[in-house]
Amino acid sequence: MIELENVTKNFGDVTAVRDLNLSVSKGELFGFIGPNGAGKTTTIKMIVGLLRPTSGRVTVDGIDIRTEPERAKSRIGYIPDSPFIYSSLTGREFLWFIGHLYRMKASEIKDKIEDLFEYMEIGEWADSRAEEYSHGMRQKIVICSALMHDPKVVLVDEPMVGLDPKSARKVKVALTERVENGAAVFVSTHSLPVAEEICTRVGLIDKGAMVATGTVDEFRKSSKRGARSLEDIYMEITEGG
Amino acid sequence: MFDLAEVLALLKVKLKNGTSYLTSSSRDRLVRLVGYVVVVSIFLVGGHIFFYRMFAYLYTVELIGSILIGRILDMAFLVFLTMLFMSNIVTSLSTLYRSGEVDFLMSLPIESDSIFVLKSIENLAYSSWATLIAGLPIIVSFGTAAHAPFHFYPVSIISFLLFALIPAGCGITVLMLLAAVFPRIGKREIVLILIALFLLAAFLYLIVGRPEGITRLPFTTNLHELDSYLETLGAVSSPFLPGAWLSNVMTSFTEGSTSSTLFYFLLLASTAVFSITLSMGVASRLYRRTWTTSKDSGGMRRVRVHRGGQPKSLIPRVFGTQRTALVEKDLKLFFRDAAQWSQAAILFGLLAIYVLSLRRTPIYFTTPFWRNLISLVNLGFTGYVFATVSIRFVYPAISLEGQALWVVRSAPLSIRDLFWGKLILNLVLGTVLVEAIILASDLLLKVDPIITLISMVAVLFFACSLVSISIGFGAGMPDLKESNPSRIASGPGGILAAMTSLAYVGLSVSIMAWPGYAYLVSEMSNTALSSFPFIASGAAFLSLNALAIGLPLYLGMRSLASREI
Repeated sequence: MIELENVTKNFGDVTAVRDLNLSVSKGELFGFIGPNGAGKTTTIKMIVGLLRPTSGRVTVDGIDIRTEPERAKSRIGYIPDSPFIYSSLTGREFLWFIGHLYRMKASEIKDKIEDLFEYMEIGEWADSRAEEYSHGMRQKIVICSALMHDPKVVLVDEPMVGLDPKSARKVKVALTERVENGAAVFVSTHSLPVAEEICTRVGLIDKGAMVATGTVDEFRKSSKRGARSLEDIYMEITEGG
Repeated sequence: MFDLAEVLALLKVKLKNGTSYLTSSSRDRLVRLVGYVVVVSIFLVGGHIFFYRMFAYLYTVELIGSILIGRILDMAFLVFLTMLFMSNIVTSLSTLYRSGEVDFLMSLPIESDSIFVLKSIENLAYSSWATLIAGLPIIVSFGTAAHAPFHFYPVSIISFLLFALIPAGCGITVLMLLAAVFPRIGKREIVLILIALFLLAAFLYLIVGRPEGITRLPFTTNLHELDSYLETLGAVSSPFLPGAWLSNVMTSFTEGSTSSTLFYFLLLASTAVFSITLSMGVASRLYRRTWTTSKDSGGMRRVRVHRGGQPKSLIPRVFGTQRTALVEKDLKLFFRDAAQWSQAAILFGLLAIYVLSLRRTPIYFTTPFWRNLISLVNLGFTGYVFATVSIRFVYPAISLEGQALWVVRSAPLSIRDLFWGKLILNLVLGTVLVEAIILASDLLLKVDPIITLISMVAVLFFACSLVSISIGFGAGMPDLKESNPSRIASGPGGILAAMTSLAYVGLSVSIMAWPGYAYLVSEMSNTALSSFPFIASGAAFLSLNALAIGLPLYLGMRSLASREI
């Protein structure tokens, strides 16, 4: 569903992502972990079409994001790390706007909004303007907007930032359910327990290059120190020991 | 009482931050900086040439020239005073109460008086820099035209700075008092209060100031009427307002009246000190308290717009679902931003006054020649007004997507559709506006129906071209970090778009004037009228519009498509 072939991204003299090859299949929840500035957000933005690779190719559901951006984007649900939305719109109005951008039918939009708002416990905030929302509430609205058109590919940049434990739990369940229904989910996160808990496969990126990929079990088996948790494995790989 | 050492330490940090921003090696910042310098330089030089020519000419007019100069200075500084007072009130709400930096500073062991002084300095800079730049060419041009000695300039510039401190102190004081009485006060309420104040001031000015006297030139040989006209000009319109004091410092200086210069200079200085002291006195009692209560009530404030179901559709979905959704979203954002609709309301009010004032066209403009010439001037003025409206309201359209631009860029929406969404709304509203102005004004001017029809077709092209220029430039040079549309419009891109728009209007009107000129020449010389000027003028006008519509949209679309966010 998501294919990155020899993708490199340079910002001037700085190489943010270096010759990255990656494939995330249908029904897979891929965790993308790495230290700050490793190139996680840059990679996600290239998949969603907000940044253009300096070289290489990105396809989503077999569609090249560069040559057919609208077709590719119609398959994607994107949750950015900073949930900036139009501050004068209410959460409900924002979701109607998104529904129209994705060419959904009015009845479909209405049902989806009701379902998602109930699931994410948006409650009476649905009809208040976003300028009054907390960071967590904005994050919940953005999550609803990314899931409402049933995307085949979900791209999530730091999903749990600002969420209360209950909402975080619900997001994890929602993402897992998407995967069970055949979607591909790509999650970039600092939270190793989250990655360990929900991801079917993990990729470790450092200084723009993929250092290792595999399941947590595969990492455990290959650990020289006999590391058990993803955190220990992460330390072992990033510290070169 | 504020701690000077604390304020200086905080100012040092802010200056260091600003300096590192300016000296950073980022190409984008360098381009912006160079852009600002070029635009400000062009403005200063252009302003100087314009005012110098005006003042130099007026000095050659015997009897009334110098009096007229005094009145022009009075009026200019009165406008500056009003603008400074209003902008200080509006910006101080953001700098003193709604700033993340204040939240942070209030959590530190720093005197709130020190924070107030720091933020007031920042507020003064934010709200006054544009007016100070606008005032500079007036001062220098006046001094040059009056052959003033070198020390006139430092004295006048210091007086101008003192003048700017007066509305700054008063504006901040008014805001703190408003915040004490209405803890939940927001931009919307402040803008409404300012509109009320503006209308009151305009009413008082029109009734008490009787500004029409300055433009009602006496086409008469009656000495009594001439005398009364001179009397109208000579009367100082606002002797108790700082604008007149500043004007008097400058005129007294060039007339060599040291005592008068000193008197008005000291009047400005003492009032500035009083204004600042007053704001600091009020702040030491009210600032921390009002800041805290504004935070308390801010948390409780909830604007519930609509409950459940599909939000009401504002327009029919005839342009396609995506484009209509974009138009609806932009309309909602516009009407929910008090700064946007209130400025639009003021502008339309002024336009209505302009159109209605045409009823009083002097009797000597009744000949066909004058009426048609005036209709051409009216066409140019309509173009000029719409160019201004377009820069203020259309140019920021792309920038106002701001940090939420990812929403439309990550959706299955082409850049072309995004542009169409912006174009549809602004074209419809723009066309209605210009057609209404031209139709109403031509009817009031009793212009020939054929000329009115031609003007209506011409302004349709004006609307298309000017909206395209604004959208195109706005997409080519967006400022996605700024949420204030006025600031977006006054940035380098906005000024470049304004200059392009004005050049377009000037060129269009010149092209359209050509056939009229040919007709006049043929009438006066009794020669046959050639069809060439008509055909060539039509072709040139269409070519100019094709260029003005196509090129900015193409370049803007390409630039936005390649922009990475």
